[in-house]
Amino acid sequence: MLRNQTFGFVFQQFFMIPNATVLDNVALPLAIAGVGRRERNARGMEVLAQVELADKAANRATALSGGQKQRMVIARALANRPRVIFADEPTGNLDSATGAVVTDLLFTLNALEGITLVIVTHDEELAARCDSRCAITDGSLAAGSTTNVPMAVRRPATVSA
Amino acid sequence: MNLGEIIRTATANTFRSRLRTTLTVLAIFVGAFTLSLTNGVGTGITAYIDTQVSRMGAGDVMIINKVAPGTVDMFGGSSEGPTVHDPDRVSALSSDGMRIQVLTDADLANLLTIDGITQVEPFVSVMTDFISRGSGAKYDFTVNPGGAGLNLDIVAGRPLREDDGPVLLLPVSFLAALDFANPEAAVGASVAIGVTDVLGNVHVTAADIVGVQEATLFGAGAIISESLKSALHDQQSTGMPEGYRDVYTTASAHFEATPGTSGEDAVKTALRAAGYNGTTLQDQLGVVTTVINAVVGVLNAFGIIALIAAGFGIINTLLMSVQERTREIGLMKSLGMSRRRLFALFSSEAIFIGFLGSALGVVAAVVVGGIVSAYVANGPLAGLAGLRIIAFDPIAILAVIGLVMALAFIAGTLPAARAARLDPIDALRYE
Repeated sequence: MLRNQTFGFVFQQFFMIPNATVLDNVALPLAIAGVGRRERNARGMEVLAQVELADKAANRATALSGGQKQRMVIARALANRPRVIFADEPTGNLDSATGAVVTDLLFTLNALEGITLVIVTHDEELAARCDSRCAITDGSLAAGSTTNVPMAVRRPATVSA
Repeated sequence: MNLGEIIRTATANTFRSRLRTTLTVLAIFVGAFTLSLTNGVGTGITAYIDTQVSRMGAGDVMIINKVAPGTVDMFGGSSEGPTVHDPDRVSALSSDGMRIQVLTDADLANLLTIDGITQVEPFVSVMTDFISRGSGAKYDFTVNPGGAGLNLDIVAGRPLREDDGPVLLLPVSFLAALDFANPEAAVGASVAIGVTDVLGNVHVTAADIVGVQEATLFGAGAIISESLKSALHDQQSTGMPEGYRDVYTTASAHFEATPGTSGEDAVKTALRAAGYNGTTLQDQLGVVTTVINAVVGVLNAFGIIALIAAGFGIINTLLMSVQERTREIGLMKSLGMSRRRLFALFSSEAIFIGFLGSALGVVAAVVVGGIVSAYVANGPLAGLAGLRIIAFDPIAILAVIGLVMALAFIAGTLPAARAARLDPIDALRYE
């Protein structure tokens, strides 16, 4: 329930159901939560519009390009209105131009919808845009962790690790 | 995910790998087809026997014969050693040389004194030689010892009545030989029946045909009226020494008890105490039914073996499916799908495959069974009117489908449990 209702996940390798439509993929967390088909489709279209993929709703998920796939995955993460989105190398599989689009999308969500982002990345530029960062070397916290904005502010934060 | 959603998803998933699903369904199809067909044979034959039994009329009739004291062995002795000879006990040799005990008029009177026995009629056996019509050829002819009690398929005319004079029912097989164009033409016609007495003289008696009968499972030969039978018996007994004339191997008796209850057993016990053995038609058929059930049981076992083999096919198919969809399962788990629901999802896939195979198998069995029954009824077994060799009982059909689905569920538990147990992190990492 925690994973389904509170968290959204964005994976580097996308992980989708290959022969299902884009809409069905996006609505998967809702289906698992037991939401009815009509409401599922409505919410699915809503989040697809948010990531500008509404026109691809009926396409097969595998037919999308890399950037579109990542946006679809973000839409899936958004479907259940999560409070936190965990993104594992969200730009790792994308070229820099598409990567920028996806990153902008994530930070817009943080700014406008108040969703906390936890991003795992090797990309220094992406890490620099986050409020706090923890450097991890071989599984343990290393020196060089910074907090750009004091945690006391308690606004939805972006953290990179 | 609610149950409806799980079933919908599972159904859709089974069609994702069409060839694999088709092959598994085919294996189940073969098992379900065999099982339905063998079941159908059992149902068909049992139904036929039941109809024949109900034609035999009253269930409250026993066939009674006399038993020798002690258990008679092959040499006429018993387990207590040789039996002391009793000159008053009349016995006869049966055709295979065994000594059998016969009933005399004194026995018949004695039987009536037994509690529960209301009416006793000896089986008068008549050995007829021939039947002929006018100056036409003579044909070998046998009489059914069962007599008027049988309710037969009457093709034309009417069944026998108790007050009938010397009349008979002609079996359909004699129509052409006796030069009758159709069954209706035979009704009312007169035929001659010949018997030979012990001295070798041939007696010919005229009899009228009142009806035409279909062949039956019980007893070959024609059914003749009691008055004709006693007339023929008297002619046949001409020249026999006194004391050998009125002996009977068996008699039929009506009893006052509900058939199949302890009342019936009480009558049998009383008979046994008096030295007689009573068997109802149900007892005699019990042997036949047991044999048929055993044969059908063995055939069913083959069907079940095929289904068990198909069950391994289901396990294999689903294990491959779980393997292939490991990352998808990991995704679903990471999105909050519970173990129970994942188990239900894969189990539903197994049950759906079972349903597909069994439904197709049962439908095919009904179609093939119908064709085979029609062919057999018009061909090799045309003589047994009303026989449907393969009949289908809706409850048995549903039971087959239910059994296969249950089997499929059991086969699906292993792969489903494997899917449910997967760790989401490992599953997502799986290449």
